[in-house]
Amino acid sequence: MKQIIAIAKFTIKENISNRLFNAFIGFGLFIIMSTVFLKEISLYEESKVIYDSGLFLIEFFVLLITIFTSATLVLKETKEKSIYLVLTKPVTRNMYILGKVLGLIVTVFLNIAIMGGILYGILVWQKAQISLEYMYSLIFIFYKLSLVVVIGVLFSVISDSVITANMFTFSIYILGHAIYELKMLADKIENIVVKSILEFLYRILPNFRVLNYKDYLKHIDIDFGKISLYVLGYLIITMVIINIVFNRKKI
Amino acid sequence: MLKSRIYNIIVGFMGIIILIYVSSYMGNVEGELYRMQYQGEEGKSPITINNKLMGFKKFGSSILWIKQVLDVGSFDYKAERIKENSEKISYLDPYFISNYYFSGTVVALIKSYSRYDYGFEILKRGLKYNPDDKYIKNYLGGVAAASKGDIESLLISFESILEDVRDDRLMNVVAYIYEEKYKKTKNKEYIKKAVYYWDKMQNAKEELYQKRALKKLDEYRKYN
Repeated sequence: MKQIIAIAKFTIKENISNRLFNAFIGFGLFIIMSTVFLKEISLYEESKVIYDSGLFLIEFFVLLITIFTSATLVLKETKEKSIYLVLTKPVTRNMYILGKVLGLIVTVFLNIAIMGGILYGILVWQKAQISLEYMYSLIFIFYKLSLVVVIGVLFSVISDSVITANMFTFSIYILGHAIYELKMLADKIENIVVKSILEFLYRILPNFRVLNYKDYLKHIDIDFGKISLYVLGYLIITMVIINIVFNRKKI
Repeated sequence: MLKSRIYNIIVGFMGIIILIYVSSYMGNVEGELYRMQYQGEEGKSPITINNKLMGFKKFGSSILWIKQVLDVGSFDYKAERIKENSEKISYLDPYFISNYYFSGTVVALIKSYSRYDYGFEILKRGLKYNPDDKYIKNYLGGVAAASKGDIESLLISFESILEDVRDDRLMNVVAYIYEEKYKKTKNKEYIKKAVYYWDKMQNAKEELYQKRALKKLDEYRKYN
């Protein structure tokens, strides 16, 4: 456990000291703060515009950071050969990956907390009504991006190229939102092969549609525990797949 | 190595059990989310479809709302485009009520447009998705009265909205009607009512209405 925590801490420190990472955060914060100016042109709907744009921007910028850091993780360390230094120590590959993923998830959490805090401040300043739904939206963004972390790391382990790993992770993010449409398409299509592929995708892709709380059009009572369990289950299975692939990978 | 394999199998099995346990619940929520979204074809465009599929419906509707406000403010926009834009907003967020109030009244009540049919269409769509909204019925009533030239019914509908809702455009319409009635009848009660609305319009969100209110208040100073 000590080794895992040490790797996680190192990953967080590494990310925080990354220039590109900081540039993304800085730019994200600047843009979120700029949403205040939208107030002037959003007639009667200032709060809605700032609220929706702010949450979108938080997710968008943290998503960029997440994809960039997770999908390049193993590839970058293999290229820089720093991975050998860690794996020669009494650290198993499972521990290494778990530590790295944990570090990335904590980084994502910190990013969302900072940006969410700033948006909250802006909304309070603008005298917008803020309910518990704001908190839920941030938690669900964190859930979604935690899944993006493990998917990114999975592609980082599978792929040999940084570009394809980034592209695949981003594609999964998009497909995860259109998951219900995939199911409906599968129901309509008669070709058994295409139908099976679509149904398979529907089963294995992360259900980002349900996790997209910020985009719920109306209030619905959700079982927070069950949705958290879904995220946990998905994280566990993806981690196991990463471990299996990484253990077989020749570095 | 063997230990690691056994560990992976056990943990993976746990993950599968968890996912099986919650899968039916996730399916139910998914179905509910699908049912609450916009069900028509109007407003479908590459931009709105992308926004919908990528999970940015609310953000997309906010951006389109800003576009609608700016376009209407520019005054060289066709009624068809306002209706189209309103449909796009509905496609993304059919519960965004200001879209119906604003777009419905603009296309119907602004003289250069006077498209009551579009106004009805927009407001009826609003009513379909927001049947409990009490103001939308009054907006519809007002537009219906305006299309028939029934000024009294129009005033009843719109003044009941203005009691609770801030709508500078509508306030301007009501004030204008009272002013016209005063000009025809010379009944001071009418101009007092118009002054009451111009007074409120002084702190309108749109500069155009602020200026108009100040000008009119100056013109009818003795009733202020």
